Order: sequence, then structure tokens, then C-alpha cells
Amino acid sequence: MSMSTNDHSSSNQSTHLYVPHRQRELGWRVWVEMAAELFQARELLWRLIWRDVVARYKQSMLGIFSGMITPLAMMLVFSSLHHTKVIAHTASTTIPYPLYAYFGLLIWQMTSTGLSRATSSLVIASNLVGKVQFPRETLVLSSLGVAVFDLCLGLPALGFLLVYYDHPLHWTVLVIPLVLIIQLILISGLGMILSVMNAAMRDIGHFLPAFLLFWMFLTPIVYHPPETPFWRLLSWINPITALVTTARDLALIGTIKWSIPIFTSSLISLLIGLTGWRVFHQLEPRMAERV
Amino acid sequence: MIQVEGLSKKYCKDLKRAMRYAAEEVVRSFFHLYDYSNETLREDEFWSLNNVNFVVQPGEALGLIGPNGAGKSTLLKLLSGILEPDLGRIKLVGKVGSLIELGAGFHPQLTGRENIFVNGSILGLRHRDIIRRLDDIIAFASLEDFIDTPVKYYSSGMYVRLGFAIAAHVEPHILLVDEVLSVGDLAFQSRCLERIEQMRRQGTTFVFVSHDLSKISRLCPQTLLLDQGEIAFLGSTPQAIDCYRRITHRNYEESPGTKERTDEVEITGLEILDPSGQTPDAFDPQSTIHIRTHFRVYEKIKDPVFNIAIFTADTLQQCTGFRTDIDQHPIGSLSPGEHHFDLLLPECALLPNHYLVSATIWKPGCLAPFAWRWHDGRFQISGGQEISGICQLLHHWQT
Repeated sequence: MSMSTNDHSSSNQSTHLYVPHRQRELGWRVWVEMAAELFQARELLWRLIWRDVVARYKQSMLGIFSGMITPLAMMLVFSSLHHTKVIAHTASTTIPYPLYAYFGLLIWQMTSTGLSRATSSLVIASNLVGKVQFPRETLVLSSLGVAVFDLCLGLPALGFLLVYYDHPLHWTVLVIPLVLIIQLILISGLGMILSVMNAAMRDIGHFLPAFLLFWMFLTPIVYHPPETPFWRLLSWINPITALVTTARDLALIGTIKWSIPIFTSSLISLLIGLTGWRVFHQLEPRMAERV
Repeated sequence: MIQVEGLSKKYCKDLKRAMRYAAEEVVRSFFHLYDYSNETLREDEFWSLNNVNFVVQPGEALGLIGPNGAGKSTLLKLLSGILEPDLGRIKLVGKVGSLIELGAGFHPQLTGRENIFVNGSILGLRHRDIIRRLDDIIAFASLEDFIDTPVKYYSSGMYVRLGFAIAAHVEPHILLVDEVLSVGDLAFQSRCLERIEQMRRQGTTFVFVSHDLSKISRLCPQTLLLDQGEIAFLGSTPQAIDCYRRITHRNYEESPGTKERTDEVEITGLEILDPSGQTPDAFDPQSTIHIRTHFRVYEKIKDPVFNIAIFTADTLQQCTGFRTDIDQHPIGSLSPGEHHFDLLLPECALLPNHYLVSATIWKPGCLAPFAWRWHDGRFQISGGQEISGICQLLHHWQT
């Protein structure tokens, strides 16, 4: 059995210094440190995403199809409700309803799965958090990996629907990844805050499904964006509204209808993302004790 | 190299209060307000580590021993950076690896091979390093046949072997080892020790926590003894172990031995004396020891049997016992009054240690006792060479 030589000369050794309130002492340079840490841990992040995805699909009956089951099922339910006029069709768009609903539901599922998994990520990995040293952001961020993977797996059904309704796909669909990235930044920021709160107060994880349901109906996923000024303003306060609507419009219509909301929503998302990350990093030394 | 100065860490006993304190601290440090809470103890808080100072030079191995709750795991977690110190500072030069949790990050559905990548990443190995060492890891864990089965089908021994195999190939400059090596079968334990010794020869710095004192004496020339969060001793391992025994002994002293009496007889006391009748602090090896049992007889008894047993104080292992009926030393009748009987141990062959003595007076036939006192007499033998074992038998060499 061969062992690679271990160079113990002091030439290439890193120094670790642990003092109380280290982050306060660093000041604004904390951001640099945070970014450097995350960059160094990129392989670990990828490996954790890989682990979750492989494990999920290994012992599953439907395999790669399980990603499209939920949005497909919900789309069928809402489509039938729409068809029987239970949900009123305030038509201001040329997109057939099932396609419209499925697109929105697909993106919403990414949000919902991502946020739920992120919130419980620290608690599930509590023995890791308490015993091994590594950047904890990777745990939260990797939990979003499965959500994104599910989104990709739901695309074939989208393709099928496009063909079925003979609806064109505009070239602006290539911009969608950018919109999705902004949405992911929003979810990761929220996820980081929620994961820490959940680790300390476990009932946050219990409230989350109800909150997500509430949020879903607040966003024009299965209905069209409201026209009346009051409700329209209310729906634009929700940052996801602009992101989902824009993504949908870019793919299926080709133009963006409202440019200001998308701009403000992106800004809010970025802000929440960075704040969440900073708070998370601040709380990292305490996690091992509290989780 | 490891350098620790003035290290202190406190914990809060109450859960709700702990959360409140944590929230306070976070808000204060987030807004860069000065936090005085570190220096003083708030309500329900206690110091789990208090003013710990030590230095470990590169290539040295330091043992870390102490009673349960002394703060050993806390110290290890502080050294690996999982916890942040409340006071003081820690400086580590070199890549740090820790064997605190074996198999961290393992997912039961994934195969052993896949889990090697996961665990290796968590421990800090780069992807190309894992690929390079993959065969070595599998060979070290002797899991060639099972490496492609899901980990949930592994026995606990296989699990631990794989975990250790990965951790052993991280090749850090500093390795912190917690009590993980106490699990696993004999083959695994010896392989672990071999590997650790190999790493030592290559110059890895060690901090080694264990309750197994023989492992510590074998691997670490220096030891740090922690008791209730403070350094009780820092220096050579044999002295540290002796100090540890004395602390354990002290805890025994606080809990009296049990005793029992009947209407006829009561044992009133046990004395351990030297030939001159004094009670010394410690006996020299191979010196003569008198064990004197005082007892009071209330009603006349006939042909009792006297029984003395000697135990080691730390492990309560019985070293030896003496009975007057086996030794064919008849007692006869005893009339009411104060009596005592002596057991003489000329040139006692017991090795340096702390010992406890139990005395029993049996009814004839040794089926039921008149009276007894357990672990009530105490004596210490110290001095001479540090040898493992219970007693030094009469011997000579022939070559």
C-alpha cells in the first residue's frame, strides 16, 4: 500500500487563528472572507448536490419522472377547474391555460421545494454541523440543487405541451436562466435565514408548508396578473410575481410587459440574498451549539 | 503547531435562556456593538473551559484525559474551529483534520464508493485527491467486495472502517482524535493504532482524547489532564495518569463505602498500617502492609470466618482476597467486646496504584455474613517503575 509523501515543511502551511468575535474584528472584509470560503468549498457544494440528487432517484419508483408529477398533477386539477369555469378566465393573453399554468407551477415547485429543503437542511445534517468543520452555506445551497434538478426534469412535459398546443417558443427563452438565477438568489437568502431560525425554533419548519401555500396563491401562478390597480400593486410587492411573470412572458410571448416591477423585484431579491447570507455567516459559530 | 492562550468557553444550562443570549449576541455583533457578555457569567451559565493554556510543537502528540464532563470534547471542537472561544485565542499552523465523527455525510442509499467521495469532500479533500487515493482507501478498509453496495447494508464495523479509512487518508498536519477509536473490533483497533503511529513518524501533530489510558501511554509522551474545565496537570504522561487516578480517588472519598451489621457483630473500622503501626500516605512497592479490622461483638459467636478483599480504586477490579477458612486459620469462639484482626502482607507484590479494601466476617460455612464493610479501607502504593498490571511476581531471568 503506497502513501503519498506528506510534506511537513512549514513552507506551504495555512495558519488558523480563532479569537472571540472574529467577524466583528474583520469589519467589511468579512464579505471577502465569505466569498473566498464559498469559492473554496465549490467542490463540496457540487458533491452535496450530487449526493442528494443521486440518493433521491436511486430508490424511487418513477425515477427521473418524479420531477414532473407534482406540477403536472396540479396543472391537470387547475385546468379542469378552469375548463368548467370555476376559475374565471380574465383573458389578456394568448397562451392556452394548461400551458400557462404548467409553466408557472414548474417554477413555483422549484421555489417551494428549494425553500422547504433549505429550511430543514441544518436540522437534518445536525450531526455534521456539530462535529465537522466546513462552510455551512454549502448545506443550504446544496438543498436548492434538487429543486433545480426537478425543474429540468419537468421540461419534457413542457415541450410536449408546447407541441400539443402548437405554441411557439420565442428566442427570448434564452434569457430565462438569468431570471431563474435571480429567483434562486432570493430563495437562498430566505432559506439561509429560515434554516437558522428553524434550527433554533423547530416549529418554523411546521409553519412553512402553510406559508408556501399562502404565497402560491398570492402569486399569479394559476391565474392571470390582476388588472385592477389595487390588486396589481399588491401582487407586485411580492418579488416572485415579477420573476415568474417575466419568465413566462419571455418564453411564451417574447416581450416583457412591465419593466419596472422586474427591476425592483431583482433588486429586492439581491438584497434579501445578500442579507440572508451575511446573517447566516454571522450565526455560523453559534450553530454547533444550538442546533 | 498548536498554541492555546487563555482559552475559555461558557455554556448556558437553560435552553430558553441560551436562545435569548444567542439572539442578543448576534444582534450586538451584527451591529458592531461591544459585547461585554463574554467576560462575566450570566444567569444559568457556567465555564465549560476556563483559562486553558498549552502549546503543542510540530510533530508532538498530546494526550487529553479527564473525567466525563471535564471539557475534552469542547476543547477538541474549539481546536477544530467548530466552536468559537469566548475568551483567549487559538492558533494552529497547518492543515487541520479531525476524527471526531466517522462517516460524516454518509448517505445510506449511496454505495460505499459514492460515499467516499461525499465524506472525502466534507473532510476537505479535492476531487482529484480522492480519485488518486480511492484504491488505498478501499484496501485500508478491506471492503473491496462490498464497496459497491449501499452503506445502509453495512455492519457497524464496516461503517466505522470505511469512515476511518477515509479520514486516515486526509493527511493533515494536525490531527485531532476524539473517542472514535473505542468502537470496532480488535483488528480495527490495532490497524488504527498502527496508522496513527505511522502518521506520527511522518511528523503529524496529534491531540488525542481517550479514556483508554494504555493507548494514551503508548502514543503520547505528554498529556493534558482536564478536570471541570481547568487544567489539572500538563506534563509527562505517567504523572498525568497518576494525577487522574488521584482525582478519581478523591471522588470515591466523597462517597462512603457500604456496610452492614447484624445483632451479633459489627465492623467498626478498617486501618491500613505499616509495621510500626503508623498510617502512611503511600506505601513503597514491596513493603509490608498490615490490614487491621476493628470489630465489636455483641453476642458470643463461634468459628467465624474472616475475609479481606483488595480492589483497584479506579476500575474496582478485585486483585486478590484472603479467607481464614481457606488458609486454615481457625478462629474459635469470640466473647462480647472490642476485637480486631490483622492481615499481614509481607513484601506486598502489588504494583503502584490506589487500592480499596473490603472486610467481611462470615458465619461458619461462609454462607451468610455477620457483618461487612465494602471499599472502606484505602491505601496507595507509589514509587518505583511505572509498569502495567496488577502485581509484580517473583521472577528471575535466565538467558
